Amino acid sequence: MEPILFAVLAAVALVAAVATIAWRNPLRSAFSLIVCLFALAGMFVTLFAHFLAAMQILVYAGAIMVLFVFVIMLLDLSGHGSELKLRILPVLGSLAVLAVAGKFAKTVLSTHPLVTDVPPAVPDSFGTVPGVAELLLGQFLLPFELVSLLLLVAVVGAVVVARRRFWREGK
Amino acid sequence: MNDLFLLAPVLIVTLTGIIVLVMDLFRSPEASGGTHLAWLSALGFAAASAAAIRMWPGSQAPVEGWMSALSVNAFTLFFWILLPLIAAFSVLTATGFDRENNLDHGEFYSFHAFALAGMMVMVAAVELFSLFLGLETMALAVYALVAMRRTSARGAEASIKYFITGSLASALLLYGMVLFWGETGTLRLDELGRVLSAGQCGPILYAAAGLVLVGFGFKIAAVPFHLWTPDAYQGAPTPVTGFMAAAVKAASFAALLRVVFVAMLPELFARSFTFVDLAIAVAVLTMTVGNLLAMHQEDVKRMLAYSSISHAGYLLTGLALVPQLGSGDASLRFVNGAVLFYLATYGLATLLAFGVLARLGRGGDESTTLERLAGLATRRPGLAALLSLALLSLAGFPPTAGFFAKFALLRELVVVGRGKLTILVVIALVNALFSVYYYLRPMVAMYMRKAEGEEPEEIVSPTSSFALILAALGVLVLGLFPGRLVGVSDQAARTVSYKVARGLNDGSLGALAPFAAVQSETDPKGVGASAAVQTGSGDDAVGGR
Repeated sequence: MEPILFAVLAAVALVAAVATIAWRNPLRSAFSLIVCLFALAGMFVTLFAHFLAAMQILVYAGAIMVLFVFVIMLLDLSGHGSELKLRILPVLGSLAVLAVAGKFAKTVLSTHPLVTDVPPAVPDSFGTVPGVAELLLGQFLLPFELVSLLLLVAVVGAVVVARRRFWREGK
Repeated sequence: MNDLFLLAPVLIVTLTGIIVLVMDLFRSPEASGGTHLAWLSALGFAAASAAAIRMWPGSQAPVEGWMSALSVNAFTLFFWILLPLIAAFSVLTATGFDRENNLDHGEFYSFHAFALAGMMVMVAAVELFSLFLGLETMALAVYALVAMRRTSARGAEASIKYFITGSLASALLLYGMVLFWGETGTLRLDELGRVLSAGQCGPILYAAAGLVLVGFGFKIAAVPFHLWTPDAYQGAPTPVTGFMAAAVKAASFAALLRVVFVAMLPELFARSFTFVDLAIAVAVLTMTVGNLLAMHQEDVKRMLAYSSISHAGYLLTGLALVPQLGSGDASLRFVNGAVLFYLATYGLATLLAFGVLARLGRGGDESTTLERLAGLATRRPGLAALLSLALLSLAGFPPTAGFFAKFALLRELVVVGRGKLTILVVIALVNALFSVYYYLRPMVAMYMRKAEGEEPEEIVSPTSSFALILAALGVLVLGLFPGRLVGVSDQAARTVSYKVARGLNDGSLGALAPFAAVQSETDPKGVGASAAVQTGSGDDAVGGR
């Protein structure tokens, strides 16, 4: 049951992701992205990462998508055609890449089995809030703190790039 | 608590960034604070470098607990000493330029600090997640630096190109790392290496390794992932270009070396002919394409961008050597040592070159074309001499540091390659010869041509001159007396070997026992090894090649 559910959700996520970049209308892109994010949350559930699934819906499908939609509406971008456009050159390019990748994959697959029979061990607390908290504040404390530095850089960088002018400009 | 001290250099740099950012709030909007902020950040960076020097040569013992994501060994410390120095030179040479281009704000300097902090985490990471976070911190700060010059259309183009291709590279890298995790259940490099060597190397792992290597290929601007480089380097503010070419490239190379040598060696490279061929092909392509395209550039800044691509090619020959070695671990570290030495000297010369270029042209108007360079020797003989020195070092003329770096690297190719890599050596030599042509062109313009029409003005900045002279002295001193740095590079390179990394995590052996194991293989008598272990120096057992 779970593998089938996972496959269906993965297919939905892929189609929605392609639709996100293929729609000409930004609002439709945004809604495709919502579908993609929900499908991802469903995949997390099938992988027993319930906490992550809840966070995915709250943060991404909820808060961030609202921001996206607000920005799109404020900028009034919605009037630029609604057709689904897949141009020919990118498609040909992807096919060429797939052909090369397929050739590589064939070489490798001919010498190696696809599925190794030892799945990585998963502790009981996997995916629960205590389990995640223990990882975040234990083994991954340093990366966790690093993320705050990363966010600081991102925020200051965004402000600097988006600011209309520096103090002495335009005086 | 002791673990926290190990992080001191990174903490100092991060704090410097925050202090500079806050200090900037307290100056009046009219005052130009560039020079003060530059000195403040440079002092902070120098302090971090000094702290790293005090910690040398670090500890081999793995740190447990929350610090286990980082390893503060000699390899890490080498870059913790080198990268802050590069950043310090970079901010000092930016004074004057920042005033003219309205960049003398706290953010400009604190982004240098944050990028540096990211790099320092990246070179220390022995676990892929921290490595990625360090890399992204660095990348975001540098994107912002490139985008900061608002008035220039070329700058905007550069920032968009750099941002898009950089994000693509990060995404590839991340995807590769995720596949590694999905297949092995670990993100630690040494454990990845152990899984790979245990022979459970499934097809997914090949895909993962491929994605990670391609991601790094973008970051170090190897051909065919180099297309963003010329535009990004040309459009970025000139001192930032120097920072990108010297520091970003060195940090990316360090992380690449650690990933390849600790996690992927020799299993992936030795077992699969594709990776060997690809490593050699990419090295050859990178140096040749970079060189050929550099020849026709009329803009020295763009020419140096292409030249930085070709230098990445020389450095990649170190990776091409790997499959020739098999289990000859001792030789491996000599190759690595030569690569580290090359990175240091290349970084210094590059900073010097871009530092001089930053001084040309006032009021945000960069005059770095060959035409505008004409007659610089009569207008500003000092700047002309400094630029010439940098170009000579990049070309590899004695007695500059660049000569010794190329010599050491090619020598390792000949000696360690045991004749199998003759073609690669010949190609590298021919490339080095061709490169002399385009490195000499700016010198011809400066010394033998007269300026036509209106003479361009240069920026006056004593701080920048001070830093440039220091860098020039560095280039000369390292060229005349390279011994000390060579020793340090070798010592650093030894700690990034896969045997050391894996042996240490056995747990059954003492902290230094893996050294003994490695050295007894190379030293048939085994006497030097045990003696070295007892004294704890380990230096004198190096010569067992």
